[in-house]
Amino acid sequence: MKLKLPQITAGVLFSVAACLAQAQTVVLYSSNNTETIEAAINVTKKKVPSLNVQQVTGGTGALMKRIQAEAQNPRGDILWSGGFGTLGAYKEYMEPYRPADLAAIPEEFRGPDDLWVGTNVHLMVIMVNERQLKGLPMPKTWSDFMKPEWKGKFAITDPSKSATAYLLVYGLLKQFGREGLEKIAANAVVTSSSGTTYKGTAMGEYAVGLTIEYAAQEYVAGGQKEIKLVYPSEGSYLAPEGMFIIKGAKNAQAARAFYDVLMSKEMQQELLVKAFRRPTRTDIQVSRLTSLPDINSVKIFPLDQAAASEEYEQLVALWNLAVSKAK
Amino acid sequence: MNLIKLRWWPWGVLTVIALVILAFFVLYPLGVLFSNSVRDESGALSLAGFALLLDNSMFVEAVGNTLILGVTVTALSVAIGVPLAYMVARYEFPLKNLVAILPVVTIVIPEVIVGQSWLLILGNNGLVTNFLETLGVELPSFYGWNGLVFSMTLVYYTYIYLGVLAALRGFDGQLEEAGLSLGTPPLMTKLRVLVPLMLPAVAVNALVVFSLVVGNFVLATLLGSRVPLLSVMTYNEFINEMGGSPLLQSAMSVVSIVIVGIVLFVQKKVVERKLYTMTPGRAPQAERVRSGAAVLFTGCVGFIIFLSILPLVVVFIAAFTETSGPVMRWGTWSFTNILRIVRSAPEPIFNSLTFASMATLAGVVFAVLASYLIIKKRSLLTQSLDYIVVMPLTISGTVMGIALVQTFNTGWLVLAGTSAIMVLCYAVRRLPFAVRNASSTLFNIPDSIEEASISLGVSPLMSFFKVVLPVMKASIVSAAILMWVTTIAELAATVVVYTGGLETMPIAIFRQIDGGRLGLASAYGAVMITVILVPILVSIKLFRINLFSNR
Repeated sequence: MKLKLPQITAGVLFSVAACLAQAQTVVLYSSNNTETIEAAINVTKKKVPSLNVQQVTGGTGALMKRIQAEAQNPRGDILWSGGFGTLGAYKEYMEPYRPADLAAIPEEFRGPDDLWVGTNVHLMVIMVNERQLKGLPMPKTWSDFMKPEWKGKFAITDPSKSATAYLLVYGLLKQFGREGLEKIAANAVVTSSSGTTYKGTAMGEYAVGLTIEYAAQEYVAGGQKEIKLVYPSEGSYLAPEGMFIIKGAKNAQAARAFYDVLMSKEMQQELLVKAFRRPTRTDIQVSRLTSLPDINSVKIFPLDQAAASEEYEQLVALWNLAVSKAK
Repeated sequence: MNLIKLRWWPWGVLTVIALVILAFFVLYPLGVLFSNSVRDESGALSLAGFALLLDNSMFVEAVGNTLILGVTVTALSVAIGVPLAYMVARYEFPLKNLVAILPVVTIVIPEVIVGQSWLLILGNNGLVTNFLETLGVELPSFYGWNGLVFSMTLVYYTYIYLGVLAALRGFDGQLEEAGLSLGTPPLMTKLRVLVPLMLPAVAVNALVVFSLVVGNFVLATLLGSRVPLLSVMTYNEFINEMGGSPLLQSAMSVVSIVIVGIVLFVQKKVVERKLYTMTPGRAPQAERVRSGAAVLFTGCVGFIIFLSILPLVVVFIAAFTETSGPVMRWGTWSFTNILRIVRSAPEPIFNSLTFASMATLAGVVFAVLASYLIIKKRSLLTQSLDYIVVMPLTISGTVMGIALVQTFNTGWLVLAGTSAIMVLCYAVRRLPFAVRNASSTLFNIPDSIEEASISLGVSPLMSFFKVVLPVMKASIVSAAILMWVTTIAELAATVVVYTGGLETMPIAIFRQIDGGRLGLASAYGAVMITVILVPILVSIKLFRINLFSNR
């Protein structure tokens, strides 16, 4: 078939027009770091070229407050991502959405009434800086840190300053009771942000940090040989993170399209490889794509996420008491 | 009738407007803060907040640490600043002219960058630390007291240096000659004549340093994770999502205001009693030093300049160093981080530029008006204006931010969470400096030129625009540039008032450092320093304005 110039021109014009008509803006509120957002946007560009993602960044808490303040006139469309406990406290600002692909994500990583869906899941691990152990044995599990020889050698983040740290402390309480938690609190160096814990461990400030898997893995992947990850033999804790569409979102349709992309297999694979975010999808094999173990080969101590957020104030008070007792 | 009208219009009315604005944006928030600190949940008066604080051993420790840190850093800054000023004022030695860049380097480089670069150099995984470790030397940890004292001294000694230098340059050399000719030995002469004259300059600036250390949030939070300090504790209480009680954060804020207030009070009492009035005379000629002494002097001054400028160099190197996640690969180069922030996350750059420009515009307009009223239209009203305008000086950025958020969070004027509160916060914080800068030339403008214009029939308002403003041009430009530059680098208050989407460059740096991305943080740092240095260089080259002449 031979095409004449007018036909080509018409064709080109038509596809340009189609593109313009389809180009949709979606405003993303994100607490993820620059590289992770960048990776997500790159996948989106490949999968749905017509989506134009505009990002607004900040801490999860700050963004939630912003969503709350803008409730009458929402300026964001989608939030990605926050811990399930935090999400549960802001249900009234969410627009329910049931993506077609929902079956790929296990029930435990879904929000109630289709309000949110888990995009990735953090594992709480023991991050060890071998160079700083200096004669201490390699720790194997949580209860090691109740022993007196660990006093002042390991860091844990203040549970009121970080959602993941909160879940860690909650897990320790459920698993070892008040007495066990107090023993750990008495030995720990308490830091005021998750960053301080894993950075401090990487930089040798602490021999060990009780922290998030992906953060520790970044140092391993970066080539810092003395950093090792230990999955506690008594069981690690899961801290899933999810996203939701903001109620009354101006670009609701684009938001749903972006939601689908964010939970797609390609996205979760890319974020696993680039940023070590463990997928919530069951059809991705972690150990094949990274040096991280598959989740079913790691022992997990189960926690009820909803109950965890309900007990917030008691737990924080209990923890503060335990820390001040140790002083 | 006519007389009253003449008095009130335009300056009386403008004074009242200025006072109302200040009262609303400075006095009112402070009032809310103080009142929140003495109210319990039901709203009844109570001192429960302060009682809780006194009961909290960590808080008492934090106050103690803050005072110790303040005194230590102030003492060290004096120990460096005074001899440096003396060497520069009195002696001529090779490369001496390099000291002229000191104020630019230390006052203009944002603290967040200073802290970050010293971490890159002396932190536990720092360049020097790692190098020394291969030689078998283990440095003490930079986190905590060592780093705090070291980096704060390097940031604040310039205040002492500049103050003492100015005093020494205005000093009449004949006084010393008189002492010598009366037969007093040279060393005795110096002690008896120079020391008392330098003392007020040292005392005034030492107290400025002390209040800056007490209010310091940036270095305290970057380096002091194991040392509880008042400023960091106040901030933590504020961001504590669930438990952040307005009572405790207000009470903590009030404590820090009271500490600085007491110090200012002591300053006024002590310094004013010791003030000598002296007719400015010819400062003695700088003495040329030779060989051994010259090497020593150049070495000392060179070393201080080197330490002051090192952060700048390190940030630029780190910005172009290849990184893998949080791990820096020193010695390999790449544009990835710079491109990444310009391409994927330029938002903080735009935000910083917008907020700083708006705050500068508002602040400078207000400052020009206020300084004109204070200096040229003296009255009881303008005197109170003078007092209120300097009040933000005594309030640390964190506390100012908390006061503004608490005040404009609810009610008919809700600013919290909008860009307006950022602009307001910057404008109020830098107002004292802007007024001081703007007023510097006003003293030298004789009233007669304005009167001449008015007697020729030009209205007072027009005379102000046509006669006074053009003469003030240089000081307005320098006030604007200094305000813009310091606002871009502001972190302590920003970190309290910003919300998602309103991130500025210092916040981005702060967040990247917290996430362990020193490469990305340095890239933002390099952009920020460029943005800051360009207008300064342009103003010096193009307008020939000496920005630091009246500091």
